[in-house]
Amino acid sequence: MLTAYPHPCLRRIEWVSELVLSLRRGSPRWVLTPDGVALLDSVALRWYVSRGRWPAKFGQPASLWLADAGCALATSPDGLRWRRLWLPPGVLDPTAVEETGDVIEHPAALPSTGDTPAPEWWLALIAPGGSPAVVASGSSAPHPVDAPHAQPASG
Amino acid sequence: MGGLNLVLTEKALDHWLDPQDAARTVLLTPSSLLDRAESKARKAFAGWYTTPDYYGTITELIAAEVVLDLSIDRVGSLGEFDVLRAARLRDLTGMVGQGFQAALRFRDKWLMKSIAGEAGIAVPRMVLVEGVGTLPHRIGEIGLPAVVKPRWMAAAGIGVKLVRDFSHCSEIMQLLSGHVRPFELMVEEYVESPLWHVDGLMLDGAVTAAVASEFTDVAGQAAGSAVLDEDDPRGEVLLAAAAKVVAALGSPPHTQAFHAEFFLGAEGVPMLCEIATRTGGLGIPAMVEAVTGINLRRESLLGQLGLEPAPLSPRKSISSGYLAMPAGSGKPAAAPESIPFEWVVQQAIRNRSGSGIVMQATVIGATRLEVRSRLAELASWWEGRC
Repeated sequence: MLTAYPHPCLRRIEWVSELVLSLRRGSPRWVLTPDGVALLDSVALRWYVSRGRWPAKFGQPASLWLADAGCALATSPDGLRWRRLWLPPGVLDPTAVEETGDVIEHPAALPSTGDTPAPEWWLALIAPGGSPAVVASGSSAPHPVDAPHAQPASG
Repeated sequence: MGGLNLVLTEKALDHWLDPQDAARTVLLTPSSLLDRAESKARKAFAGWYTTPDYYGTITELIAAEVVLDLSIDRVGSLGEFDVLRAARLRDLTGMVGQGFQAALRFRDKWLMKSIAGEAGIAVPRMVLVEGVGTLPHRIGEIGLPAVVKPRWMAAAGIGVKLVRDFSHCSEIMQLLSGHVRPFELMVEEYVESPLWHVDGLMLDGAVTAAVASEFTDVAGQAAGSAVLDEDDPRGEVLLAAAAKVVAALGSPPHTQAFHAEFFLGAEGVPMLCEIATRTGGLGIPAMVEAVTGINLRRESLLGQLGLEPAPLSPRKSISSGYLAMPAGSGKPAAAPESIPFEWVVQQAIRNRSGSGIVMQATVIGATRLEVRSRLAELASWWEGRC
């Protein structure tokens, strides 16, 4: 389960139509989902939705966070150092990605998560020209997504 | 001549659009509707998109892509579940018509009744529920019996629940636990008074045509309604209340259907139960058409698409009603093919596979009482055969 924290480069998305429009304005874009993080473009979004992964029942607002175009994400599976990851659209599994070798300092202060389980991994957002900031944490490993382009949605 | 229209519908549109308008209208429907459509109907429209799961998020995704790809000018919808979806699509490109915030006033019961209450319309006492854990406290504030309902969409399959004691409250809490967001539920006082409804058309915050009716449902056995007579004073009171609610909530600058429900007891003051920007369900549109000549579904769609509505004619000096017998009440082998009464002006008998026979009929009569008598006769006739 992912917990997102407010950041000026993150925008909350409640409805899929908002996400469709945002991805038309620039994609692929990072989307923080309850399962983890996905780099989505239009095709990957269709796949994501048609597989029933949209994290809300029909008619209910979802709670996703969309990163500004050009933002990169870094994750810290070991909680100690930050490795910049470049993921193909839809891929959520940090172990299946190419590491660029960039190392980012671990932020000293992390947001309180209240009663939630201790996070096992952290996510930092790197805005163009900006410094990294923690934007999310998770208490379990992000779910992997395989072959997002393999099954285009019907319609 | 404008641009293209997009219509979200899970039912056929009949012949509501003239050929020119149909030729610049794109449909988004369930795949099954296109499969059943005749060749002529398929060719009549500018395009026909289908969705594998009409109630799924995929439908809004496809609709959003259509809106952005085809430069859609107007979006129309007919069903309850499309109201907010269509409103969000209009907001995407700033289309004319009911946007999301305006539609929410007719969907979010808390917002709806708060606005109506501020406008001087009677509403039930109500309180928002922060989370499932505080439900007993909130019910305690309102007092038993109380009604627990989701603000705008069924939560965990739970619609409106009447709570008569706190043991029932515990059952509901178990069902809802983990499925409800903060402030998604509300508790209302239970109102004993009978429920009535007003169905009509609105334009720019004013009611342009409407009739008031009484529900004649028999719980678990049949659904039905009967239109009040023109000189019934309760009708006047209900129509005035509906006009006040529509004025308070506002409506788009085009014709659109509404369905409002009020409690009205002996004291004669209508209390808003809820109002929606769509036609009433089951046989209500056909019942209203029988006394007004207005096809609410058609007029609402034409209005949303910016097309000229049919001229309004005076209400006929008759009453009408409808009866709907649910699936499971009939045996397929014994079901009659048609209803023989001359006062039945519209009928549909369907064998719904797996669940049994369903019947729906529209009845007319000189007065409401005659319509009620005929509805009872029809129900008795049906039950004797199925």
